[in-house]
Amino acid sequence: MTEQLNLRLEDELLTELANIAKAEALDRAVVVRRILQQGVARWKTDNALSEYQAGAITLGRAAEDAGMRLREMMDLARDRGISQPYEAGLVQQQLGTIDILARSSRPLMAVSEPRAEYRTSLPDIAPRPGGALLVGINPAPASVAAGHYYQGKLGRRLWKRLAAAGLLEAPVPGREDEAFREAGHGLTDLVKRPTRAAGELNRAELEDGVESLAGKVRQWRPGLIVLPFKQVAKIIFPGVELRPGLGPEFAGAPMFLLSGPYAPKADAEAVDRALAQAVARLPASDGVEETDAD
Amino acid sequence: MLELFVDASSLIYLGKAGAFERIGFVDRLIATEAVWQEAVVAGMQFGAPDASEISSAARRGLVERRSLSRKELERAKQMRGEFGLDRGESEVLAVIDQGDIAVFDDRAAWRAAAAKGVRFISTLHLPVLGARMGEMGKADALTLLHDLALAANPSVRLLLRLRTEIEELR
Repeated sequence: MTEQLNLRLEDELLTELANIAKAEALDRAVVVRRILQQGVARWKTDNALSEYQAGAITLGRAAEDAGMRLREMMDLARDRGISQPYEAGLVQQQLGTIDILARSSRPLMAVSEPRAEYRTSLPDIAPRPGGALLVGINPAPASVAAGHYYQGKLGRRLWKRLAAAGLLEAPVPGREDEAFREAGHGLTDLVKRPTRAAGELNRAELEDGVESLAGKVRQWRPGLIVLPFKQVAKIIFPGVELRPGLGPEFAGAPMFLLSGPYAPKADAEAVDRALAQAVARLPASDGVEETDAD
Repeated sequence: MLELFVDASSLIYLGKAGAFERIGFVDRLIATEAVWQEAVVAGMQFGAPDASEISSAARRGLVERRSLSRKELERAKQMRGEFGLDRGESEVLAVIDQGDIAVFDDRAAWRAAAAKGVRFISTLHLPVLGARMGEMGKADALTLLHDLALAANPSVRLLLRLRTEIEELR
């Protein structure tokens, strides 16, 4: 089926079309039709590639949308120097999958309900908007085995301090993270891969972790980021000498660094009082949401 | 037994890199019908050497074709519209179980897999997996990564990240 389309064209363009028709020995209408077909095909290709680059569609889908084969689209993307931008969170997720595969050749469990023997990390707990977000370096194997955050000796001491600051109430020993979540606060780590010591993490993992954390903070909008260890602060703010207490903002949220486990008692108490004051200023809780970014 | 559900780009990259012989730690690569059509049938029409590589890997039993039921095809069609996937990728997500692993190379496909609760890796992660499993030496894994990168044209940052992951293995 065809339909007549009336267009008003400038003299200059009409002359160009006439010249092409003469050079190709074709009727002017045929030339216009061909140029329109080429223009439409070109637009579809450009549009598909731009959607691919933005991450909205895959390269295969871009090929389908542009009426091409996948190999043609691969070549075109390469010729135009198009590759997808790096996304730290997604790459980390894949390395987590590799972790599982490398550890066990047994069938994998569903992501939503990991059994203890297959659990490889701890899922993120998103805070309510305006709640506190506790950020560690990476989970300890003891915590992963228990299925709850901060289950080592230092971890249990940390929970006591956080409870004293008003961040959780009446926790069940060994399940303090649940009380923390119920109070509207969240938990995550820079890197989700558990290791016996943080020194086993590589630089690239930590850099990715900072980028990934920035994305989570922008998405969850916590009212306060609480860093239990100075080491985390050093990774997030390289080259900045930070002292315990309220510090600079990270991804739009204020950051609070706790004092170390071996700080003088008076100093630690002063920092804990400052934390309690910062917690008291957080907006009231109105619900909890959870994600599994593991 | 390690079985991976692959999309067409993954098979093409593996074929271009001559990688099928080098990923002995993978027991089977499962290709749905649309994946097979794009990677092998269309590739043969182009005269692409990688299509012959894939076909030969299928004859050796490494690549297995998987056809879809009518219900699965319906599900694939739905997912194609929902997530910006091609026919092959949506077929993979329509047949895969939550415990299985998909091999995808695009952000849109990774996000779709994550939304469906399906674990995924990219083709470029395979050398890292081989090295982590202790099935490949570091040097072999780095060479394979290099060959796959030539085929897949990844971002420099991803390539460096995966290099570091292999180099820093103990």
